[in-house]
Amino acid sequence: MQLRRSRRGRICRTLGLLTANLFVATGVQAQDSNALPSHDASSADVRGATDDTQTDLGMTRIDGAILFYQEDGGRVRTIEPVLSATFNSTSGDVLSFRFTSDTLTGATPNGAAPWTGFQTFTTPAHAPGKTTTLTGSSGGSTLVTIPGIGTVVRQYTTAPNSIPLDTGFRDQRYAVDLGYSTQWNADTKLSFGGSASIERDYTAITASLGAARDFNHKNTTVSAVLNFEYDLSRPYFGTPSPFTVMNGNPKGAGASKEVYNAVLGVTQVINRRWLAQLNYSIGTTNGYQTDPYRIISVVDPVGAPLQYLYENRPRSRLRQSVYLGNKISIGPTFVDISARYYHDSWGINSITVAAADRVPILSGLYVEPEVRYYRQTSAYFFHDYLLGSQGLPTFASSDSRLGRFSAVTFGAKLGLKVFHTGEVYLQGERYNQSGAAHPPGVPSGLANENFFSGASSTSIIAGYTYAFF
Amino acid sequence: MRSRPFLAGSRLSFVPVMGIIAVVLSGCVGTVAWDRDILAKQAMSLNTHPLITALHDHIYFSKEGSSGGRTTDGGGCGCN
Amino acid sequence: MTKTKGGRFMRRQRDARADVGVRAESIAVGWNHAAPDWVAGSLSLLVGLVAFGQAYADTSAKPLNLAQYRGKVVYLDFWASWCAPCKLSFPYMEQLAASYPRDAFVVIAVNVDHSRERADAFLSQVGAEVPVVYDPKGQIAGKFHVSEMPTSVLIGRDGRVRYVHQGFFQNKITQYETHIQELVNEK
Repeated sequence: MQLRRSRRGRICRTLGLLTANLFVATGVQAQDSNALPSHDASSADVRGATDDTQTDLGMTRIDGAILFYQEDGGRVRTIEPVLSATFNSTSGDVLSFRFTSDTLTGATPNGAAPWTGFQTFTTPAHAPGKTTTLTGSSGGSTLVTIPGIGTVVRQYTTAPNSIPLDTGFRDQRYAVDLGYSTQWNADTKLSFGGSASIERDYTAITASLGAARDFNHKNTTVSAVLNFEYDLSRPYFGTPSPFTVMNGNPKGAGASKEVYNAVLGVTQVINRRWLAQLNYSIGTTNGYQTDPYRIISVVDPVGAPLQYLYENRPRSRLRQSVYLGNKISIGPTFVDISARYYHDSWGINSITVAAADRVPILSGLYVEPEVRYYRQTSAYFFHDYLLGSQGLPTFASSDSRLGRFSAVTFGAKLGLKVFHTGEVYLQGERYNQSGAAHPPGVPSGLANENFFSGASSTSIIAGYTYAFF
Repeated sequence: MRSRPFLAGSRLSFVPVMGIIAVVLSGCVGTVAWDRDILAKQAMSLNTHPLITALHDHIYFSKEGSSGGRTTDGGGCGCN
Repeated sequence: MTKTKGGRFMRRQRDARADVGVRAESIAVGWNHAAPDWVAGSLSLLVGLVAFGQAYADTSAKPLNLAQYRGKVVYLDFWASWCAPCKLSFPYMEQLAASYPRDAFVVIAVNVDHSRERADAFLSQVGAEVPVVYDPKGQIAGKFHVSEMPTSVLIGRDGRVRYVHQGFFQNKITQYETHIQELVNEK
């Protein structure tokens, strides 16, 4: 075999030098050294010889899973069962359906800052004929009739020295996802998708279009996905005008937003044991992006609340991210390493790094520990509170989702192969979130308060998958 | 205070660099068609458990300010 | 291992002899880019020869001898246990083998699995009866420049490659039939 002295050859050799160590670890030295037939530890599992592949050509696959999610301190709890069916034709067409149900209960921060005293909040009661959850463990709501006017409002009081929480939420969401992909020709795949997610006060509809093209004998795949989403927010009491005072009156009409998103990706087989993916994603959101239930405290020079104003977020947002994912087979284990850098026009920059390693234990049984590190900066309009002595900014929100914090997730998955094409699995993880509990420059009366309103959480997913002809 | 555009900052000029690396590497690396046994395995799929991925994305989206970034095409046995 | 460019190369060459199946390009890319190409070329050739020799020293891989089939049409199919369309192509090949006379047409299934056990498990699962040749190092696949899995190479009665079917598609079966008929009807 002769080497061609081409420019590509020279570039290849230089790049090969740069990545030589990785090649050595995963490619050359891991190559099978002699004539023995079995090359990896799991090849002795003959029962799974043909069932270990990821293609379900000609088969129907059913997936089911249920998520139990609980935040610390009696905060949000979600129970979310999912069921999906995928029909694969022998010519490579795939049709998939997914149904999701999501029951959300528990307390959520209302956006107000903590204080050394009790705080009472007034919000509209539900429309006549609808029930409001009135009891909670602490800070339960009561329905109060305003004397003289006769309007019925909901009031609740929160304890001193704690993040004010609204316990009056119970939400039920249903979602349907549809997907279809087809082999346009030997190298090209087209895909179409749509979904609808409906809950009492929020509807989201999406449509997507994608194309993927193979190159270099299917070692390289270039893909593009375009996404459109339309969201309609209709809070039960209407949409409050930004920065108006929190009260029990009915508000304005519903509000909507539109999202346009594109993901461009390259998937590359690096060597026999290593698959890498690089994606660039860009999206714009225009319309109502404020949380209609959230307020922000305006406080006096020592930190006592003067008013609670409904928050206000910008109506446009440009998001971009770069994602690098890897799947590497090292010995009998499979390593998943990924990193994502995100930047948006609200000032949020984040990095996410995640790693997981699937380790076979017994024949058909594996354990996959995982760890994820996440860190984000705050949006430029994020404020823990507003000072009454200063003028109102253009936008303001105290939502911890827009604040500066870091989070570490530890998790593990246990999977057991069943019935040749099936698997049952259990996955649990612990999400630990930490942010600035004591921001600098707080008024003297709030010096000992913990301002970080994000919550750590525990989640468990139990699921199964099975395919048949 | 507005943040500066994405590609204007030196922080993110590596995006086009990554693109170039991807394009160049695509000519230098890969496997022959008959050596895709490991890549064909279920464990080497970029999204081994789509339901877990969807549920976790939902959790992270509800707690964090970032979103998205992944596709799942490519890899596998390269058959047909 | 010495720090000179020659030293780095020497270590890689020892590894190459021990690790049969290392592709010659891998040696070259790990090498200091200042080395002359004729050295790279000769050493690649050396490794190739060593690999070639080692393959024939391996008693479990019987080399494919196509000369014995001269005068017959040969349907040479490259398959693997991990290739999903192969689960569909095998019943088709069994049907082919049954529908043409043995003195005119022969199906040979060349397996490229690294693991013999997985290949045999697949064969028993699909109930295959066509003759199988094992090519775990991919030498035969390489000789025929297989670039997709599965690949069927149709060799005419004259021993020349006439058609190559890349992939197996059920909606192309009539096309496959046309090619086979054409070759069988020759001479």
